Amino acid sequence: MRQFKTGWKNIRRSPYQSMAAVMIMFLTLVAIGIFGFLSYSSYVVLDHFESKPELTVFFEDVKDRDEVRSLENKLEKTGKVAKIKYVSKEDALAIYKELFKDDPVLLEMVTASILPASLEISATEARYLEDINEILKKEEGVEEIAYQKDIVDNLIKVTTAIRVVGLALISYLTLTSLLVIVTIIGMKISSRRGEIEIMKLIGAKSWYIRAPFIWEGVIYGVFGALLATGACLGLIFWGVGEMVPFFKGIPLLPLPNEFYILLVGGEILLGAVIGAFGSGLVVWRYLKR
Amino acid sequence: MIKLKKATKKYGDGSTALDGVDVVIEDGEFVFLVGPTGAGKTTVFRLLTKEIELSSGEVEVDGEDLRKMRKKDIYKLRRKVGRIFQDLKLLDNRTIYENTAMVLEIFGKKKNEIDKEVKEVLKSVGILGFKDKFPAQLSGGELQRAAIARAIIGKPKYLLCDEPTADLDPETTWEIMDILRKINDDGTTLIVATHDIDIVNSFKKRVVKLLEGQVTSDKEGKYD
Repeated sequence: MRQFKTGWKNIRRSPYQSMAAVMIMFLTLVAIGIFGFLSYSSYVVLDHFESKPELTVFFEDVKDRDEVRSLENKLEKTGKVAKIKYVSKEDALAIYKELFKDDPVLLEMVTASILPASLEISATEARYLEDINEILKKEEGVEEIAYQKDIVDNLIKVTTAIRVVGLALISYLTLTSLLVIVTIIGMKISSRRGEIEIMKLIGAKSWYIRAPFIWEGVIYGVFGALLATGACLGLIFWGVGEMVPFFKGIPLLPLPNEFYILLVGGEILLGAVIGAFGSGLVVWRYLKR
Repeated sequence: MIKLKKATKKYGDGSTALDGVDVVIEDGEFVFLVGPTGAGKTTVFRLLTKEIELSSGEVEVDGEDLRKMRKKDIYKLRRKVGRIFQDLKLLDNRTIYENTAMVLEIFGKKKNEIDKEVKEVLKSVGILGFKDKFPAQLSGGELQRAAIARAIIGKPKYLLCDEPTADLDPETTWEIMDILRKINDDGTTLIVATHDIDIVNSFKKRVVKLLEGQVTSDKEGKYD
C-alpha cells in the first residue's frame, strides 16, 4: 500500500508526463477494443451464413413443375438436404413486389413471366452445398445457381483483412505505448537517482524501489483502459446502430454479456500489463547497473 | 566481527585503492581509520557495504564472506552495517523526520512504530525540535546529527562514519563525537574515518592508519 501511495504521489508530481502516458494507453486500448469488436462482429456474420447452408437454383422457362419435382426427389434421396422450398414465378413476383413496394416504377416493369421459378434448398451441413451444387450443374434447364459460398469466401477475406490490419496497428500502438512508458518512467527514475541510491545504501530491497514505479505504470494502464472502455462502448453502440440495417437479420445486438466482461476486464488487464511491463523493464534495467 | 584479509582493490584505470590490507575488528570495538585523502578509507567502507567488489583477498562481515554474498541479499548486509556518509546524503525534499523515517519504512515497520522510534532517535541526537525542517534549513552540526539519526535508527550492528566531523566547528565536533561514543557504549561497533588528530588522540581508541592503500600502523591510542 505504501508503494502504491508513492506511485500515486509520483504521478501527481508530474501531471503532464502522466497525461501523455494515459493518452497513449487510451489510444492503444481503443484500437484494441474496436478491432476486437470488429473481429467479433465479423465472426457473428460469418457464423450466421455458415450456420445456414442454403442454396437457390433458378430454372429456365422450359423446366416445368414435374421436372422440378423429380429433381426435388433426386436431391432428397441424397440425404444431404434438410429442406426444399419451391418458389414459383408467381411467388417470385410476390417477393419482388414486397421488396420494391415503395418503388412503383420498378413494379410496373416486372411481371411473373420474366421472373424465374426457383428452388430454395437448405443442406443438412455446409459441406454438402458443394455436392448439391454439382448435382444441379449437371441438370438441364438450370439458369443459375446462387449459394453462399461466395458470400462466405468474401467474408473470410474481409475478416482476415480486419485481423491483419488490426494486429499490425495494435502491435504498433502497443510498442509505442511501451516506449512512452519506458521514457516517462526512465525520466522519473533519472530525476530520483539520488534518492534511489540512498535507498539502496540504507538497505532497501529491490522490490521496495521497483514497486512504486511499477504501480505508476499500472495506474497509467488502468486509467487509459477505463477511458478506452468508455470510448469503445460509445463507438460500438453508435456503430452497431448504423450497421444493423445493413446486416438485416443478423443478430449483432444484443451483444452477449461475455463480450462486455471481456472488453472491460481485458482492457483493464491489458492496460495494467502494458504499464507494469514497460515500467518494470526500465526499473529492472536501472537497478541491474 | 569485520575481517579484511589481503584485501586488494584495483580500479579499472589501473589505480590501486587498497593493497593487501589485513585488519580484524571485533564486535563492540571503536576504531579510528586514519590517513590522508586517497589513502583508501572510503574504499574500505564501500567494500564493507558491498558497493564495490574486492579485486583479490577476503572480506567478511559478521561471519559472512561478502564475495559469496548474492546480489539479492545485499540489503540484509546494509541493514546490519549503518553508514554516515561524508556528504551526508540527506534528501533535500524531505524533512528531517521523513529522512529518518525512510529507513524504517524501508524495513516495513508500521506507521505508529515509526513515529515513536523516529522521535526517540531524534531526541537522542538532540534535534527533535528540527524534525519538520528541511536539510537546507539546518546548520552543519544539525545536519550531521540528522545523518547520525538516520544511520542508527535501524539499530545496525556496525556503524561506519566517514569524516563525521569534517567542516564542523570544534564545539560541535566534540558534541558529535560524544554522540558516537554513546552509540558505541550501547554496543554498536564503530569505525570512524577521520583526519582530526586531536579527536583521535583524545579518545585513546584503536587507530588503524592507511597510507596509499596499505596499513602502516594498527595500535591503541594515538595518531602518529
